[in-house]
Amino acid sequence: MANSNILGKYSPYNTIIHRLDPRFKLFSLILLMVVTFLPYGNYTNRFLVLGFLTIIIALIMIIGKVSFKSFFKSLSSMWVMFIFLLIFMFFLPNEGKYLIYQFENGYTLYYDGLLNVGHVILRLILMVALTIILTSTTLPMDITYALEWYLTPLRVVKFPTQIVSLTISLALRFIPTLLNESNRIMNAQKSRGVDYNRGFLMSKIRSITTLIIPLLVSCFSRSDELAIAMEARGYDPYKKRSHYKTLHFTYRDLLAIIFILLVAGIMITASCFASYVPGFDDFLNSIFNIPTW
Amino acid sequence: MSLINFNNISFIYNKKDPNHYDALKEVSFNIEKGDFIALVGHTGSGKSTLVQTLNGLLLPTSGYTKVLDFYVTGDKEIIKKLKKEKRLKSKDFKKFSNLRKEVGMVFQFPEYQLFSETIIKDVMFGPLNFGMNEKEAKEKAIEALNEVGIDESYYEKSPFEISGGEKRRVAIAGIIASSPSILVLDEPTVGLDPNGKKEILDLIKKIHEKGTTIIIVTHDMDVVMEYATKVAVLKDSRFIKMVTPNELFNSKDLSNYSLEIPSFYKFKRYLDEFGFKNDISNANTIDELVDVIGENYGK
Ligand SMILES: Nc1ncnc2c1ncn2[C@@H]1O[C@H](COP(=O)(O)OP(=O)(O)O)[C@@H](O)[C@H]1O
Ligand SMILES: [Mg+2]
Repeated sequence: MANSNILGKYSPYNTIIHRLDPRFKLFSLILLMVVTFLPYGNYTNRFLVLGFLTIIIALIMIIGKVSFKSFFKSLSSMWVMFIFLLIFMFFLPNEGKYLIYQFENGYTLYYDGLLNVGHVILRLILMVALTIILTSTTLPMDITYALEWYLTPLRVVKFPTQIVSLTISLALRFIPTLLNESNRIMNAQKSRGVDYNRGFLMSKIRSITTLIIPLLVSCFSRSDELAIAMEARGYDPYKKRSHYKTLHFTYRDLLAIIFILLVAGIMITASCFASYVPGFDDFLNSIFNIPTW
Repeated sequence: MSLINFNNISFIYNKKDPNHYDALKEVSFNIEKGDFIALVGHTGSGKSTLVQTLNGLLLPTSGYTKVLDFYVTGDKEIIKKLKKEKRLKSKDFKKFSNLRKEVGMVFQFPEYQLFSETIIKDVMFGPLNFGMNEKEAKEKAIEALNEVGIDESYYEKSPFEISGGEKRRVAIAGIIASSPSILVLDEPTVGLDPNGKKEILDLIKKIHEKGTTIIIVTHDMDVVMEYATKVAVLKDSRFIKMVTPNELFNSKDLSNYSLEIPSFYKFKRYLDEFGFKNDISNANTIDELVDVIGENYGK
């Protein structure tokens, strides 16, 4: 079931990225995602700044031994979106400054459309890359711990953080179990002549029911057993919990934080300059010698 | 010509991952028609992996498994060679429905495969998939249900409202209903009480007597001793040997393979250790042993 990992799968290397504190990784992920969505002025600037970020992210991927293959695989499903974007932002009538061609009936195509599509796609690719870095270098359980840590302040307003994080942990915990289970059921049904790859709509639906029904049955009995086992061992959702694994913040994390804040700082500064300092675009362009768009 | 031929097969899980694992290493041996083979070995020795190559659920990373006239392999070199020599086509290495009709496969907890509204429908499911029409499939299903001892009053019940042992028997009926010529069972008695276990094993014996070749994965050495004609031993992903149960249990290296000694052979060993004077090495059943011991008392 290797194809069922849309958001990437943990790969057990021991790189410096793997060893970083998950709380920090989660924070950096969100920070960098926000940063990709800041305004950066004209098109030249946008691509310059995002290009800078792309290089940084690619570097992190290389250091963390993130599989580029699985990254491109998860991108490959985006082509539908690409076509939609192209239709809406380029082929349908749009406003623009840089004309490609004006037809006699008044239908016009602008470079702006293409550039906008490229911009959106680049942002999406970066988002996917960031997510994959997190999931392939951090165990799901560690992500949950990090999430729970960030939710802690909400306890003041009686938000049940522990129950929420337990629910998430259980869900995550059972993903591999259910994958195993569905693999087993599929093997049994294949041995009885079901072919999950062939057939069109109706026969596909029929073959999927041979998987879904047994999976649901075992899911329910499992969750029942789990609940009973937890109660038998005295689980009380409102007691204070401790973790068998405590998160530690080390000097490595400190260095990484400084690095990420530096990157984010550069990006935010660029955004501020591009938006509020008149002539900044021209200044950049005079350095890099690129025509302004 | 053997019925089944494991030809130097290896299998690697997650081949391209950092945590890839060699589950089978260069396994070669043959199984003849009519055999009742017990496949034994420690947990993780590769038994389940090996049997899943028999109906193309797993394709050997190198080497091939030949079952009847079918070749199961994922080895590109071998596929190329076979295509040339045997005039096989690409689809012969991808489509396994004809093979799966011939090789019935019962997994651990087979009751997990039940999904239809009624028991009879569930048992008919396999035969229908393998191209029989409603009427034939129903006949086959009734035959199979008779065989496993599920009577007519159950046919229209839901498979989810019967007991665990009955579920397992219905599931097995669903497999034998397509009349496979080879039946593979991967630890079919896990989680059953002694009675349920015996029922299933006697059922398998009955199926074997009708001419079906049986391959059973088991940890239960008493089962091996009582039912199997031959035992194949796996250890650390490698094939060690295939011998008769007697040869296996009389050999001294049994503990090397993390196998337990059946109670009968344990008793023989105690007799030996305590210096019983008659030669008991040829006594391989309880009756023979009783005879040898009896000689001592002038019986
Ligand atoms: N789907 C899988 N992915 C990765 N490793 C597996 C998978 N299935 C089995 N293995 C590994 O292969 C080895 C052999 O497994 P298996 O054939 O199930 O052994 P057995 O049935 O003899 O207990 C085990 O160490 C197991 O961890
Ligand atoms: Mg097994």
